[in-house]
Amino acid sequence: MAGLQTFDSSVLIPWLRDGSYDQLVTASFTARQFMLCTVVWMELYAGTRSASDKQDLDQMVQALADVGRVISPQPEDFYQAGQMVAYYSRQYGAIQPRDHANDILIALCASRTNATLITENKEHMEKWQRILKRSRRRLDLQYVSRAQ
Amino acid sequence: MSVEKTQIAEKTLLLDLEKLERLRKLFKTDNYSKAVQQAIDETLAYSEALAAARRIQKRGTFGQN
Repeated sequence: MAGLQTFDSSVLIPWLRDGSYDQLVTASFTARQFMLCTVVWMELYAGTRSASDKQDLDQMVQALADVGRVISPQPEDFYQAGQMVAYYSRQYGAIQPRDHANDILIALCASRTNATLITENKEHMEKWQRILKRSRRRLDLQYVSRAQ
Repeated sequence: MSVEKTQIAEKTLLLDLEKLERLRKLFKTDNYSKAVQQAIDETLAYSEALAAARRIQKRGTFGQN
């Protein structure tokens, strides 16, 4: 089986909204590589605008959870996320943790499961990848763009 | 909460033994039944998850202001 893939909200929100990246995401489902991070799951719920959307998202998540394809940050990931923000602030200037917490936790989810993180958010994720590398944690990234 | 009963039955299937062994190794199970069951579970789960996503896409309300 090919490696697992997890998708950032920057990909899944447009996918659910207007079908962007449909070939890419559908292929991941078909190959049973798709894995959902709970941080992205939270952001998807924020995008629901009807009880029906919420119900279908419940079913999607439950089906994936039944086969162990929903992953969540672990307590030590929150510790590491704080350290990463501190390191970033020392190197590049102060940032607000709340502005970056979700991105970092999604990156840590992917790293923890050795899944490739597929994202539009190249600028930020590359920085977190470099900082993770300092801790000898690997993060595989695949960048996508709707302009492709 | 209702609990669904799972029906397990013995079925005779014609399968490619080489592929079956590859499947067992892929899923790291100690027998073929577990490997086939896991393949079925995953295939159905991903199919259900994608179908739910398709309904959201079709409705066209997700993420709209």
